[in-house]
Amino acid sequence: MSPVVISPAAGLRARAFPPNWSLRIGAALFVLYVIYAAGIVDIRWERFVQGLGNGTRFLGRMFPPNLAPDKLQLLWQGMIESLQIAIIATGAGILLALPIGLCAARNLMPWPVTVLSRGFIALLRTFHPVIVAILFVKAVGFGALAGILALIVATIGFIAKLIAEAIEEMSMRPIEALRAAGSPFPSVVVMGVVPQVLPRFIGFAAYQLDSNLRNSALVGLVGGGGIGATLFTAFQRFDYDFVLTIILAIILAVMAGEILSAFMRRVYQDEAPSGKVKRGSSGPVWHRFTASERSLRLAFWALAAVALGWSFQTIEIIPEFLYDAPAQTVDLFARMWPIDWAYFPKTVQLALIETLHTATLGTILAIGMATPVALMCARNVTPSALINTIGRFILVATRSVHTLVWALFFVAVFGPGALAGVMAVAVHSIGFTGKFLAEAIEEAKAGPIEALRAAGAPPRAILLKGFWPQVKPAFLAVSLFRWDINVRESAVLGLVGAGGLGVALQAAMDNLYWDQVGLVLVVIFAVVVVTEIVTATLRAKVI
Amino acid sequence: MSQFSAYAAPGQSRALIIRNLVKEYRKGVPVLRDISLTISEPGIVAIIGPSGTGKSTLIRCINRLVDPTSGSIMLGGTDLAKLQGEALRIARRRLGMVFQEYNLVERLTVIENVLCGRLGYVPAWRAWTRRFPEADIARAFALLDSVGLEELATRRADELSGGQRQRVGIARAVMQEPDLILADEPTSSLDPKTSVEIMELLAKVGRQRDIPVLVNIHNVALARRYATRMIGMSKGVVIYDGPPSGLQDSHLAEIYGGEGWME
Repeated sequence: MSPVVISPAAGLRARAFPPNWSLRIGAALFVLYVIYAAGIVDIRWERFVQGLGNGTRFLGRMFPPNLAPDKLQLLWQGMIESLQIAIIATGAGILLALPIGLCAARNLMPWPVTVLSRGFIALLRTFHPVIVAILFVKAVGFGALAGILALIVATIGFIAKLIAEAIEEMSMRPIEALRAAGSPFPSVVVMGVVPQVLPRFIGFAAYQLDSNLRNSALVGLVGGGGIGATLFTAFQRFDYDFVLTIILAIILAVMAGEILSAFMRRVYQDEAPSGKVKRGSSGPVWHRFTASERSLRLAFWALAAVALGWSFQTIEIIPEFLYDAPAQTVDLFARMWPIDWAYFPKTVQLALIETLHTATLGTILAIGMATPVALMCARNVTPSALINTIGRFILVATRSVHTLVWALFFVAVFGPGALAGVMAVAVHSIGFTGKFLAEAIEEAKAGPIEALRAAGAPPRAILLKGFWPQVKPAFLAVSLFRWDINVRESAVLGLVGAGGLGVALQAAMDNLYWDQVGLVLVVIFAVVVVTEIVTATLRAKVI
Repeated sequence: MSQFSAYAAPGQSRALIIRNLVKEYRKGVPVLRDISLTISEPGIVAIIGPSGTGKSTLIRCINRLVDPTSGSIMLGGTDLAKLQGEALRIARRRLGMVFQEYNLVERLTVIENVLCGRLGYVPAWRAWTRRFPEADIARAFALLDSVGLEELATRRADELSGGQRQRVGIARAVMQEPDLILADEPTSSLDPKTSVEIMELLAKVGRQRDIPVLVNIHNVALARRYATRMIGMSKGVVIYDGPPSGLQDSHLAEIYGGEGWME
């Protein structure tokens, strides 16, 4: 503070708005980083302009979408197989995730059990489904089975973790009461845990079904069957009009999946039983649900059972490959060991740096693009229903097409390399980031906004002083969370030529240097662990 | 009227005999210091004393929600303090418990919460599919009737008021056909009028089932009104043990410390 205080008011004023030097330095460093990283991944203006030209030509070749009967036949087969993969993976994955998630809950289980279960879940979650799919393709051969197994791993990792968290957050009071009444453990779970956890469980099981539908398009890219295989072939044959047909079909399927899961949530989520008590001949008769509720539930379970049965019946699984799988897996890991450390300084180190920059730049770009879309979607900022709908469509469309598919597209536009990776990460992240931002904006309290409006503030000032302070924590949390995800995604983008660790992985696999594959996997593992620690620390600090 | 006594246990000795009970949460800092009590008379036995004096710990040691450090808790010939696993579970079926915060499963209906009292007796699959034995369901409705909540049987527990929830909690405890009911500050979250009604109900349950109801309570006047016996505790030891009429101001001064608060 200045040595001569003229009036107390001046001193107060100086303290009310001090220059935030750490913020200014942070902003300067941020800009410097973006310039530096852009140089590393070779983002230049002329490449971008050239890319735009390519992109226009590319889009020209995509339109109109190819709807020839033979193509539609291929599309149908691919979609059906993807659907079957998604259904089986979701069903089996959830069944397996339930006991594992229960075992990981620290408020119900002794600690050795939870440590083991948590370690297992963390291991399942470490590797991107595409990498898991690659390993399964090597173990059980090309086709749907590898895709199913990879998605089962992903499902268990996701659902078991959320179940464990939901159980740990529930109230322990009723559990104490049931234990005090001498209930055996299974009854405590059925009457005490299930009712408390069920609504959230239904929510994320429904989410996992449409997530698996999206990911089943993904595992096909590396030989895991389904529509992904069809898509990859179409790309390789430059059938770009058919590519568009497939992508549109995937978007439609994902939207249908979202509608289905919203319906499922409505039937199940708020399980307020409206069953009645009737006077029977031998005393009161009680049912938990009304007859129509019971039949709706029965119909739901019947549908699920039929879907699972149909998927198992018709999916193409070659049993010989399955018998062979354990031996193949052992052989695979034997060839990876000892890993080839010599590969690191030559190639992997550069690829690692490229991966980290791809994830970071992609996230920054995504936030930049998602913010206006989020504002379009937020009903309390944009009153026009038409613009809301357009915004929502952008979010769903960018999210439905997986990062790797976007990467295929951008490799065709910008050529191979990290630029395509950055664009793929950025565009796919719009959906996720924009959705959460829009929700945060809509949850902002109306009071301060009204006050600013009443004082005649222009829209820009309302956004800056009314919304931003309220949305800031959610904004930082979402950005950080997305960066964490993007690091994992960036590590596999190289499989389709979009730079980073995936390129090194693909090269090693093509050459059958399994000890080098082992090295890349170890590096990815380390990066994921470090990222997780970094985001956890930052989250605790910033939010 | 006959609902509470319909399942009265056979005439074996149901006395609860606590001997030299000690509980230390941290080593060398006992919360309960060498408590010895014998409780055999039916009706409300009220435990009074300042907060943090070990009343809750004492009650929770009896049904082993808290594990005692040493001492014995004999009930019907078994030492509850030594039981483990399945044997403990079987023993807990005969100990009903009523909680300060009711501890109902909020998202289940009232009737489901009452039937939770039977979980120790029915297999888990029956609980899951809600196929409780018909006799249990009939009794649950009769119990709800006797606590005045029959109309609310199919409402969710989180729709109920505090007093209604505590009635459900009591019905759940009675559903266990207990030899003893433990009530851990059952009225502390309730308004004065509802508190009286809940104590009335607990006293009625004790009378009709002919079992002791061990109640932790802060409200001395309310305790005197319903208890047949009062136990005053301070700093982990029993200061007074006898009929409510024998409890003098000097005892209260010793239990709670000081006298100014009594004016």
